[in-house]
Amino acid sequence: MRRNRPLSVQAISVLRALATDPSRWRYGYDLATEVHLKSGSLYPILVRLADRGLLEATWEPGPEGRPPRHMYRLSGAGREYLAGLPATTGAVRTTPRRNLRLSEASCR
Amino acid sequence: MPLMFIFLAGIAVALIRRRLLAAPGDPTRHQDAPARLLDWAVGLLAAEREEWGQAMIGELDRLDGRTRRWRFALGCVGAAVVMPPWGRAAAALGALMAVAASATGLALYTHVHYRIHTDGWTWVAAAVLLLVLVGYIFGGSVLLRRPGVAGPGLTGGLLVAAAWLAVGGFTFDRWLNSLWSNSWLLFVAPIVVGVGGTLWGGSAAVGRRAARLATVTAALGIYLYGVLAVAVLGAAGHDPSDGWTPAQIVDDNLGNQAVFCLMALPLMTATIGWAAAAATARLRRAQPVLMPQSVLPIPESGPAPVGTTRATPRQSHPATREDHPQPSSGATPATATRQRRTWYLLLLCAVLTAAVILVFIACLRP
Repeated sequence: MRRNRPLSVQAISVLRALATDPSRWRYGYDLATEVHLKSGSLYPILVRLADRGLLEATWEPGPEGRPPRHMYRLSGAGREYLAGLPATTGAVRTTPRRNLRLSEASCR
Repeated sequence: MPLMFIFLAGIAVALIRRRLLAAPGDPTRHQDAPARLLDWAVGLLAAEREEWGQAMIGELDRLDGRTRRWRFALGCVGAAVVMPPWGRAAAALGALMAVAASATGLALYTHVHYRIHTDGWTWVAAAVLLLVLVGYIFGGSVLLRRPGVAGPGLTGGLLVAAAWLAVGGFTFDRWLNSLWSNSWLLFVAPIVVGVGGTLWGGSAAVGRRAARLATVTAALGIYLYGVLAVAVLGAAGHDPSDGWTPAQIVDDNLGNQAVFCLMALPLMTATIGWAAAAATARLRRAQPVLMPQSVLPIPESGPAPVGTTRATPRQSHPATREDHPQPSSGATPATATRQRRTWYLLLLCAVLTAAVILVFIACLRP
């Protein structure tokens, strides 16, 4: 049921940020900075995208005694999903309106 | 007074213990406040979301600047606190919220029904009461999400509530007027919960959390019971010659329920349960509970970048020292560790002795 909910504009902006260079692995903080999201919003979005298989994640081992770092990039399904979206959807790079859903954005 | 001493002494011992027993090689020893806060919040995540907590920790570790670290950590804490799935914890939390809401509504009804005088202090007291209840709900929600705590905690809560009701004689009248028969139950029930939680969960951490969850559960339940007793009995049975009006009697009883059920008894229960859990773990040399290792959601076909691995992050960096005690660093002299433990045990014995003496004095007092 939840899987069928449309992605938020913020989630799509994260996907679009990853799509600028699909083969490149990105760090969470860099993504958050690029799409102007706070960490509290970014991680739930990343979790949702990973749950849907739109995202690949891997670990970069940290230096001695430091924690590893999580990295993300678009999966094949993510690229297909983005290809099926209107070009303007989620393209906003400034802080997007909260709670704006894809269905609403598509109507504009 | 003895209860307050026990509570404050318990906090002091816990803080000193953390400082004394932290090994010099422990990576969590020199963490700043944002990292410690995030470590705590990550422990709230469900097992299947564990790697996301590690992702937050790894990202925070690379950030510089106090403000930036705080902002990042606070955002992650907010996400971790509410991130689903909650599983059965959601149902238990819903029940706790329902009990708290019922008690609040009933207290409000009683206040209106008995036409209790309202002034500025009434609103202050109401605000404090709401704050305490919200604190209980938040504390309950945090504890319910800890692995292995919900079962012993909720069961222990029922046991503690039953003990409190037994002390109250299972009647509204005795609850309001002649408490403290069989008061030994108030001490035995939290000990049973602390010991049982530690044995059930296999670690002092689970035992202590079970004791706290039992306290939260019992406190909310008993507060509802106490307010119900006040609402039903009102000022029945009081001697009119004492100069108090019925509304004043009801007001006094309502305040007593809040202080007694939400502060005094919970403080005592949590403190005794915590001490019982710690003592049980020490006597038993309990093995730490191992968190389940989650598997990363990476498709097999996806190539890994150069220099990366797909090992679970827990293997190299445990989230919390309490859940995943590490062996002492090889650089730590064994004698220093023994000395610290000796100092801690001496301190613990001194505090326990003082607490026992105070409890005996309180019990023997006519």
